[in-house]
Amino acid sequence: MKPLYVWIAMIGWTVIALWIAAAARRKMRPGASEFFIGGRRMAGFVSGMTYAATTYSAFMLVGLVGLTYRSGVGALGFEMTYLIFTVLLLLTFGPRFWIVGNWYGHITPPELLAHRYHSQWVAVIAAAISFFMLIPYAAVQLMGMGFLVDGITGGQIPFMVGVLIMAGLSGFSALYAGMRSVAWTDAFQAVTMMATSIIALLFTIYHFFGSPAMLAATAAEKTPELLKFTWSPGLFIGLTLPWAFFALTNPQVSQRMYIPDSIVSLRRMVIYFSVFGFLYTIISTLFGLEAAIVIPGLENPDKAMPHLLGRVPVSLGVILFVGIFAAATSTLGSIILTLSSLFARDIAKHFYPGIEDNTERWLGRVVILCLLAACIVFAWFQPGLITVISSMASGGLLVMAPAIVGAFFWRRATAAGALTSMGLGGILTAVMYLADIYPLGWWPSVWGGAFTLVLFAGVSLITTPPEDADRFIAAVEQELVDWRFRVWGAKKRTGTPKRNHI
Amino acid sequence: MRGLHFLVILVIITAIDLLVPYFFIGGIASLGASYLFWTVLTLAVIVFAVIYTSQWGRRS
Repeated sequence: MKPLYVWIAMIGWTVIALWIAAAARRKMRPGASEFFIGGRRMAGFVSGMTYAATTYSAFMLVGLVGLTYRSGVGALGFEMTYLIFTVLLLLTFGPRFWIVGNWYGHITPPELLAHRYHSQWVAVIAAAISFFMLIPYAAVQLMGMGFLVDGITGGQIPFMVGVLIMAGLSGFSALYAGMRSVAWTDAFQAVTMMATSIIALLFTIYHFFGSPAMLAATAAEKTPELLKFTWSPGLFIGLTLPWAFFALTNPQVSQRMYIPDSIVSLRRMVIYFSVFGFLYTIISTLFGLEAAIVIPGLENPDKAMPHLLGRVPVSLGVILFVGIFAAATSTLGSIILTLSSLFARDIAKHFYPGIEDNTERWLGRVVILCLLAACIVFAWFQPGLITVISSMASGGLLVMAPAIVGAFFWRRATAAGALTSMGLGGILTAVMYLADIYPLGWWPSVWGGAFTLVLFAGVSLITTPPEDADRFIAAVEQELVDWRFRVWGAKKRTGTPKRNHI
Repeated sequence: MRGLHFLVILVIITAIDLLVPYFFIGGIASLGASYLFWTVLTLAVIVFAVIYTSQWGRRS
């Protein structure tokens, strides 16, 4: 594809995104809550689409296409298993985060942990782990963009140019109007991602194969091994386990459980996201199968999608390119905004409790710039395969899962249990990944997750839980019953709820 | 959703999600095998979510 077309697509799309960001800024009110979570005033559609655009990134149309290209239907199983877990986690934890966030004015997920465990250090450790693990994951988005522009222009637009353009756009959106700007552009990006990928998929199916039935028949004839499930249990569980708890452990998505403006919007967020994820997963894996048939023998599977783009008419290639550009940009913007809120609320405020709202926003903006610089440096070194890096990031964040689940479901859970499990579990998982240690063929995420769980339970049992743990859990459960979040096993309450501000 | 219900549903679905492809249909070279299975299973969970959340917010 000629570089001119790619430049026109990127500039045109950037102008629209900037216009949306400017519109969002006009709606922005003062305060840290407004900047970091949109003042909890997001409607259902925007909430669902920002959740989807944050979750689904360049990984889908670059990494997942490559994974399907290389290893077949197991890639679909891995991604669908993630989606199943996420839907169930949102049904269970979405209302709990939303209720507690409203009650106590939490802005970041670690604030919830600090409140429940009565320890600000729990929030500091959770925020530190998030920083350590999410910077590589954010850089992966930049790398995806770099690979893409480099691949489809035959190297005429270099890797680092794509990286820098995307970093600039994501940074501007987050800096300009915070969550409102990011969420609105995410909604536009999500619609762009879905529309462009459906158009491109339909075209490529009919262009290369004649019909969906012929695609299925050709795949069975030419790439039968890709239609068989050939992944070892170690690979499947090792890759899937960290992603399965992504909705809880990744603060850029769990923070979005705070943003819906009502229960109806919360419900719509869950449903819109689920449908989006379902369709987008099918689309991405079908692209992978198509690429395996049309352009077999690629050494680097992450370049399957750029090569496929080179085989379609220019207009269609540009459309699909815009979709991938949107996916990568939206995820990066959300991650850096969330990390900036974690720094301002959970780390800086711990050491300087007197920080005012405006200072928090200013601090957040400085952190956004620093994070972008760190991501650009990381992308410059281009480490490993995109899929493996993404899973490493989620594998590390998995160590937060026991503390988050325990906060809502286990009265005996303690701050000491949370701190030791996250700290030591995080160190163990990171060392195993970095040293490439896979005992008995199982991935570091599996060992790290098991170690964290045992440590959390063991330390909690020998330490004293907060005095109000019972009351906290009981109050949340009662509110769930009152608002019919719990359909089964709900005992009808007598009297009136203690809190009416939801 | 209550914690116990969540756990039970999660265990059942995870067992189905893993055991069916590994022991029954993983070796079939067709889009109508593992690919269709995971697609239908996920769709069933989404339909469940739509039904389950229909009561949310209707104060008891």
